[in-house]
Amino acid sequence: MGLFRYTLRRFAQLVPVLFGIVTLTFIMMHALPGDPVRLYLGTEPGQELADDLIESHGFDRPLYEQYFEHLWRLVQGDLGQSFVYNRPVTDLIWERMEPTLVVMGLSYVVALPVAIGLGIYGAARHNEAGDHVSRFAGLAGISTPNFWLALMLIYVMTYHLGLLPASGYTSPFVNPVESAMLLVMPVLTLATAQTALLMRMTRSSMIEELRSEHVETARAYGIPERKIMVRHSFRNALLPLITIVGLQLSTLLGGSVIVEEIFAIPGLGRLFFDSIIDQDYSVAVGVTLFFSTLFLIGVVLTDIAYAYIDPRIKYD
Amino acid sequence: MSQDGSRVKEAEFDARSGFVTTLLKLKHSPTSLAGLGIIAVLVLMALFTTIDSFVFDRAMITWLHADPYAMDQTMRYEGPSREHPFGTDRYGRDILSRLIYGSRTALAIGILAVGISFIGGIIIGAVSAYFGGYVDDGLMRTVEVLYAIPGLVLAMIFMAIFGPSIYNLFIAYGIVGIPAYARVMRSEVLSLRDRQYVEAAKLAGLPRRTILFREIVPNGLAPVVVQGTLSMGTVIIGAAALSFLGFGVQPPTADWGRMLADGRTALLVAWWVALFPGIMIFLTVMGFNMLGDGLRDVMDPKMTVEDVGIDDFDLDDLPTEPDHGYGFGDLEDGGRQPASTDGGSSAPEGGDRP
Repeated sequence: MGLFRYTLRRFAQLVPVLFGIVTLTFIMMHALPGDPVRLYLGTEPGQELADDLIESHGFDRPLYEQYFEHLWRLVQGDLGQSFVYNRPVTDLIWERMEPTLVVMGLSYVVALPVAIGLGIYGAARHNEAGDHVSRFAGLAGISTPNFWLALMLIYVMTYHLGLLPASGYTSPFVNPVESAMLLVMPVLTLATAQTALLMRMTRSSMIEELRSEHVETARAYGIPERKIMVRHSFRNALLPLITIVGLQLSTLLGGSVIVEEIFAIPGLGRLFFDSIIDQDYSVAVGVTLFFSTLFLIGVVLTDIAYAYIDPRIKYD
Repeated sequence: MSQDGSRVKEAEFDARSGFVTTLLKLKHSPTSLAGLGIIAVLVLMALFTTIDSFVFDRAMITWLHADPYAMDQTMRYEGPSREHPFGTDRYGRDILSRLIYGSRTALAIGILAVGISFIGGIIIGAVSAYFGGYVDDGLMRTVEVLYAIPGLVLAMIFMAIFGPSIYNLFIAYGIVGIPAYARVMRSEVLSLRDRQYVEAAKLAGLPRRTILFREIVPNGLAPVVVQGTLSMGTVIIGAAALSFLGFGVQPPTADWGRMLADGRTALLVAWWVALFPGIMIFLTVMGFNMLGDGLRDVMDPKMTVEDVGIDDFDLDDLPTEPDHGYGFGDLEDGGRQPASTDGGSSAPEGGDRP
């Protein structure tokens, strides 16, 4: 009961933030330089054609009218029209979603087990050589620029060893083998910093947990350390990790722009990058809106998961 | 009345000396010392570059090694050699001297962008927490809007609106960073605003602005400083990413991100063009992260001696009893307690929950 109402309230709290994002992206769309009409018609538009286009898109009307129209269309799930592709933005987003979700999902799949394993190892060997090594590796991981890592991977794996194709994308649902070959480098690129960050979080929350009173009590009872790790501290230590996993969505979505650009993956990040270059701003704004909504929903879901798992959370 | 006034000063004094002793503890942490060393070298490089380019018109670096802007078409993509230890780029420019010149750009972006987020975040967070109510709601919703858009995406749109230049890069990453600082500052002020020394300052009749920015904010600065050190690395990587994608620093300015973009096109023929700028970014960010890590450890009262690596340790360094909100012990410890109210965590890594 409490949890259900908490869920409803958390989603209701999203409404003002979403409204703010819509307003901000509307301002962005009108602040961005470039003329979509000229872009669409080429360099020498006939004035009549241009007038037609301006009128049909309502560019001649006052801004506040355009704003309310924009809001009304959004409520109906219409993100506008791309001037470069001459298609609805929602169609484009829908088409480009798969590669982004596949790469991001796989990088979580790679990052989480490695991070949790290494984090627990570090905490168990606290201040021993193994811990120092993993701690240093963690620092190095969060300090590595992912676009540089991508270039180095391409150089070694493709040019030097000839093991993997440098770029491109094949859906894993169409050709799993070829897809896997293409996905190794993008996923590694995205997952490295991710793994390092999650490992550091696991390690520090595990260390804190191993010092808590209930663990001391368990030790006093003579329960073996291994069992204390697994039964008494691991689950509590994972709680803060849930929040971080949600928050990291933002970094991953931003990272997808870089990774998809370098590895020529036709996903949402690439769509965003191209739309900024082509001045196709309804697409740029549409993807921004989609990214932030995805992030907000992710955060709310992890909050709810947190509340569900941790009985100490008060639904206030 | 006069007694109250003196007590306020005493609390302030305590907090400040606490901050300094905390910094001194860093000397027992080899990691942060190494980080500090890296940063010191970079700062020296940047200072040298600044003097060299403004006073001597690149005469010093040309005399020492090579001119970072001198093109030589006969020397295109020369591999590392005695004359050019890190090789040359597409225009035959020496990569080592360009790397040295790039340190100035990287540090300038880091310091200015973090400065903007730092000041903006402190003001927004402090005002939001202290005044509460509608002010808090309004400011925090705005911050959440900024926070919800991925940093790189927001920065790219900003650069597309205002045009790619190094100055816009400062501002773009300055704005992108504000939410994180505002959140940390807000939770600090929330935990401090009901302290006795704040009550005392109110009774003494100090104006609200003075109470907020002279009494409360300085006591809550520590986590914000840690946040600043740790986000320095993020900002430098982010700015390099924008330049890499072509939205940041424009040629011919020597910039590591820009150099990496050149390295990408030449990857097949000249690996050195991409390798060395990346190493420079990595080392810089590593330096700030190592320092930030050490700072957080010495500032977090939950961490004990062996975490920080303090060997000569006395009982005064032990964390005091957790604050149960009974109001005692506030003046004794100078009001420095971990922020734990409002679900916010004092560990700035990864930010806070919106």
